This record gives sequence, structure tokens and C-alpha cells, in this order.
Amino acid sequence: MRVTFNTFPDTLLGRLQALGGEQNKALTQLSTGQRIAAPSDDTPAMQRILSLRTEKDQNQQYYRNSIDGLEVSKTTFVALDQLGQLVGRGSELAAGVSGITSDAEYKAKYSEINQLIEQGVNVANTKLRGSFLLAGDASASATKPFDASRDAGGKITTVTYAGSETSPEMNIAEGTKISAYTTSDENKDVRDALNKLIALRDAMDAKSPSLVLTARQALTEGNTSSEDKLLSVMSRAGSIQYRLENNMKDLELRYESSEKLISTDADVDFAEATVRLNRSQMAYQAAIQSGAKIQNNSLLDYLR
Amino acid sequence: MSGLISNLATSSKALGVHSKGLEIAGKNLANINNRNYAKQRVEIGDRGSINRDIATESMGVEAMELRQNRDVLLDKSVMREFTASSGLEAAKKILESAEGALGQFLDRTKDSTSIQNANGASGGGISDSLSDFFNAWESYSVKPNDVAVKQLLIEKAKILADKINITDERLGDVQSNVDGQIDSDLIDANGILKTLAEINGYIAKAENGRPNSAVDLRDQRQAKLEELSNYMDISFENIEDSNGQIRVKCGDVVLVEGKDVSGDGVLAYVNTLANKKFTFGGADLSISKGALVSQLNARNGAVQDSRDQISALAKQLQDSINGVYSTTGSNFFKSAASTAVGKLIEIDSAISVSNLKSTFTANAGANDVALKIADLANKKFTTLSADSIDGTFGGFFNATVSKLGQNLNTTNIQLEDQKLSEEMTRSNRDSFSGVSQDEELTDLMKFQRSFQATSRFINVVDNLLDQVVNRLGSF
Repeated sequence: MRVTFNTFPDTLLGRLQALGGEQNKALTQLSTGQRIAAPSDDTPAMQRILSLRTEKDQNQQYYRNSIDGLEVSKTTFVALDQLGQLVGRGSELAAGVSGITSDAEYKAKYSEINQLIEQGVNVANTKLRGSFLLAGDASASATKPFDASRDAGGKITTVTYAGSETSPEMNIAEGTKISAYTTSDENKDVRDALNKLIALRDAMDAKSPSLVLTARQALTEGNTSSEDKLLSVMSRAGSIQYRLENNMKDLELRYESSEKLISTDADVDFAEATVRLNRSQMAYQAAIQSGAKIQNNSLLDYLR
Repeated sequence: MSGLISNLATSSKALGVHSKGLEIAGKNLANINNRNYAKQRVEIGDRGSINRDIATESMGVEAMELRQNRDVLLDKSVMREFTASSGLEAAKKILESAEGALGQFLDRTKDSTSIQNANGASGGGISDSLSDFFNAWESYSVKPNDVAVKQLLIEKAKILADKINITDERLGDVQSNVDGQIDSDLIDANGILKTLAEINGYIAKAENGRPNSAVDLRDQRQAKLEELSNYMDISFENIEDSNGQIRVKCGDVVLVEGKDVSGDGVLAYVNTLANKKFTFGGADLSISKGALVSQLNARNGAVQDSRDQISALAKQLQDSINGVYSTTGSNFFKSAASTAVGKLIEIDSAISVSNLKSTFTANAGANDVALKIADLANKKFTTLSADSIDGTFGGFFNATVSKLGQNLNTTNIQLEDQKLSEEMTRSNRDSFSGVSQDEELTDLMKFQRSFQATSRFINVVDNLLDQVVNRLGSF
């Protein structure tokens, strides 16, 4: 091959540019920690990454939904527990009634049960971040879900449920919905418990041991008693919490798994990139040195 | 005696030949870095001999002609490689701009490795905005009474609409820039055609009776042909009996015929909404390779495809979200008819925190509408059912990004291969046509020594003549 004046510089320049490009790529990868940055760097990998990131973001949202659901469920559980304790206290007070109960005792029990009812209505209308908890999807309604009618003396005579018949749901995973709120039937059980307490209070007012016994039985005895129903509602709230917590653990695992898959495609293998950088650096140095050496020799050095 | 005198004349001519050799070696060295220059050499020939009474007498040497190391086959190969490289380079530039306009890059610096610490989508592209938008609907479905959540949702919707509109606008800018580049390239190409015709004219004058002698002009013409081959696939052929003039063609269309540019001599770009094409002299010109057609193909192909897909995405968003949200009595996004000119999607101006609705029922805490819209994130659409897109919103946009990315990736790989091929072809030609410093320096020595030898010969003849003319009389 005939070697002309431009053959060496052209070859050297071509090699230096190629090696410079390789060094730049390795350096960028090492400094960012990413193997790819643009879709054209590795299109199939980028498509997988974008899809996984969407999935990750969505799982993160489901996780946040689950946290909110857990908050609702836990607060609901606390409210129901309080109501259960009120019913339990009412039952306790009724248990002490017999034929020898004095008027003063009836009055004291009447007075305490009346306070339990007031507290019960208050608890039933519990709000979380400005929304009623036991109202179904009427949580933002201007009227309270448990409406207490009072007589002229201000005494609660009956409690009615003014909430919604449906409860809002939320997504906790793709295609999986859950309602962390109580159902309208459960809300009505709360209403019934409050009305049974009213009946007990009125039995105390009537100073009738038999009426007190009937009211107490309605509150605490049998499958249809308010105490059992409240326990059942609390149990469901507990199971919702358990499900949400399990779901969160599952989402955590899926998030980490997605992150690992993204990392496999997107992140640079530092050892491999460092070796690649060293290799191209050495080749670059060799190209410069050999180029300089060849370019340094010329017939001109021997001409006088 | 007559022999000595004729020797002087012969030597004088030889000195001229050596001087010419030195001059050309100097010229070659002077042009050693001139890429368009082909090495020249003096063809030295015998002037013949005459039969005298005693013996045959040589007439000496002469510089027969000036030749250059130019090979049409190699020149055409280089032009072909230039056309291919320029086309790929032009396409690469446009696709890189389009990739930048799409804005879907990966930046993992803000990515969290733990779901507890994660803070939403962190990228800057439409893909992340879509995730944010639908996640905001999810949050709204969970907290329909939360004002901050409503505010966030409206902001995310505005960001998504802005991203879509800006991306489309940027891709439109890329197309406008391509149009401008094509116009500018055509001005250059038209100038080159004119120059080629002029050089043809000069060559014809210079080579009248002296074929292939206008070597410098031929260098210039070849340089212009190579310049033009960057823009389009051209070929050239000699015109018979025309004193070295050539015919330049693109496909079957003659662009330059000798000293004239064919037709009205204007390459033009017809750029209407319905029609984008090249013409020459008013007639359609089919260019198959080179920067011009690659730019047009990238503009109308990959870039336009991306715009069409983003437009389809925006339409599907409008239709789907409004399809659910309209049950509340109003639209969430403006209808296509009400969207401002130049925009693909806009949030309805009536939407505000105070009137954003999560339900079509009277229950203020209900979330049926918000939940249905949030569920759209995973809905698979199909154009077979009169939808505007295929697949999910995210999947469809990712496919758009991937399609453009793959296009650029393929172009990059092809360009890398093409550059090697071009380098090899150029090296082959350079090996034949280029100037070698070693060759020229040895030529310099050779002609220098020849000149010295001839001078010495003249000196000897002079001495002999001196003997004859001045000394013989002294006897």
C-alpha cells in the first residue's frame, strides 16, 4: 500500500476519536452511575425501565392509599372500641339493678347512662381530617351522620342514621379495591346501640328492674346484641387493617423488586466500566505515543 | 563540432525538464494538506533521434505532459460514501433533536430505593407526568374532601397538558428547523451546480487541443462534485468530444450538461401541508440518498410519527377523562373544538378547587368518578374499538419513545459502520491520489541530482568547445 502524507494523521485521528468516544462514554457512565440515559442508548432496556418506573410509581401510590386506609380503619377501630366501652359500662350499671335498688341509685345510674349516650353520639360522629368516619360516602356532608332528637329538657330521645347507604372504596393494588370505612349496616348497628342505651336510661328512669333487664339483654346478650355487633364491626375493621398491612408489605417487596430490575438495566457495572475506561485510556496513550513517534520521522531530517 | 553544439541544446532542454520536475514536486509538497488535490507528475519522454552520417543522434528529453493520479472509479466510490454518510449524519441530527424534544431521559439521582421514602415520579417526560396525573386521581379518590389533594390534582393535570403541548411544539420546531436546513442546503446545492457548469466551461477552454491538461480545474470540479454528493446521489459521465466536460445527473435527470445547468437551473423544495418534495427545473426530482432526502424522510417519518402519536395520546386523554368526568355535568379537559389552536390538550378553564368533583352523586364524600378516572391508568385501549391509541396510556407513550429511540439507535449503528466504510474508501483513494512526502522528497533529490548532472555535462561540453574555439587557434 502506498502510504501518503495524510495516511498516518487520518488513521491516528480516526483512532483517537473512536477511543476518545469510548473514554467519554465510560466516564459519563461512571460519573452518573447509569449505563443508559437516553432511549437511543439501549431502546429495549429503556422501554422496560419506563414500564417498571410507571409500575413503581403506581405501587407507591397504592402504598400511600393503604396508609390512608389504615389511618381510617385504625381511627374507626378506636371509635368503635370507645362505643363498645360505653355499651359495656351501660351493661355494668344495669347489672347492679335489683328489687332493692334505691331511687337515688336509679337516679345516679340514669344520670351516668345519659352521659354515656351523649358521649356515644359524640363518638359516633367522629371526624378524621374534617370528614365523618361513620357516614359512608356522605363523609363531607354538612349534617352529622348520627342525628340526636332531644326533648324539651335537652335529653336525647332517639338517634337516627343520616349517613350514606354506600361507602367509598380505594385502590390498594391494580384491580383491587377495598373500603376502609364501615358499611351503612354497621353504622346502623352503632345507631341501634345508642338507641338501646337510651332504652336502658329510660328503664332506669322508670325504676323498673324488669325493663332494665330487658334493655340490658338487648345491649349485651345474644347474637343480635349491640355489644356483639360492635365487636363484629371492630373485628372487620381489624381484618381490614391486617389486609392493608399485608398489602403494604407486598407493595414494599414489589417496589424493591421493580427497583432491582430497573437497576439491572439502568445502572452501570462499575468494575466493567472501570476496566473499559482503563483499556481505552491505555489504547489512547499508545495511539498518541506511536503516532508522535511515526510523525517525528521524516526524510527531511536527512536532507541538507 | 555540430554534435557538441546540439548536446548543449539537448542539455538545455533536459535542464528544463528537471526544473519542471522540481516545480511539480514543490507543488505537490505545497498541496500536501489539500484534500482535493491529486498528486501530479511530469511525464518525461524521449524527443526521438536523427540518423546522421556517423551515428544516430538523440534529440534529448522533454516534459510530454502533466498527469495527475486521479481514478474515476475511486472518485465515484468516495462520492457514493459521502452521500451515504451525509444522509445518515443528517438523519442522526434530526432524530437526536427529536429525542431531546420528547424529553424522556433517565435520571436516577432522585430515585428512591425504598417505597416509604419515595416521593412520586421524578423524571421530566410525559411518562412521569402521566403517572403523576393518574396517581393524583388516586389520591383524590382516597381523600375527596382534601383541598390540598384537589389543588395537587389540578396542578398535575396542568403539568401533563403543558408537557404534551410543549413536546408537540418542540417536535414542530424540529420540523421547522429541518425545513430551514433543507432550504439552506438547496441554496448551497444550486450554487454548486452553477460552479460545476462554470468549471466545465473553463476546462473546455483550457483543454482545447491539450486533453487532460487542466489538472487543477479538474481537482476543483471533483471537489465540487464531492460537495454536491453530500446532498444527493449524483453520477457523472464524460461528454464525448467536449474537451473534458462532464454531465452531472441525479437518477435520470440531467442537472449539469457541460457548461450549462439544465432546465431553469433551480433545485427547489416544495413545502406545503399536503405535499413535500424536491423539484428541479419545475419537474419532480426523485432523490434517493444524501442529506436532503434523509432530512425530509426523518422530518416526515420519525418526527411526524411521534407528533401523531402524541396527538393521539392527547385525544384519548380528552375522550376518556371527559367521558367519565362529564357525568358530573362538565368536562375536565376542554373539548377538541374548544382547545386553542396550536395546543393538543388544555384543562377546562372552569375547573377549580371549589368545583372539582369526585362523584356524580350528591354525596360530597363519594369518589366514584375519581376512582373510575384513576382506573383509566391501567385500561387497555384499542384502535379496533374506535379508540385513538392501542394499549395503556403509559405503554402507548413508552412505545412512542422506544420507536424514536430505536430509530436513532439504528441510525447511530449504521453511521458507525458507514464511517468505517467511508474511511476505508477515502484511504484507498488517498493511497492512489494523495501526496507522499517521502516520494516528493526523493523526487526532489532525484531532480536535484539530475539537474546537477546535466549542469556538469554542459560544463564538460563547454570545456570541450572552449578547447576547440579558443585553444586550437593558439597552435
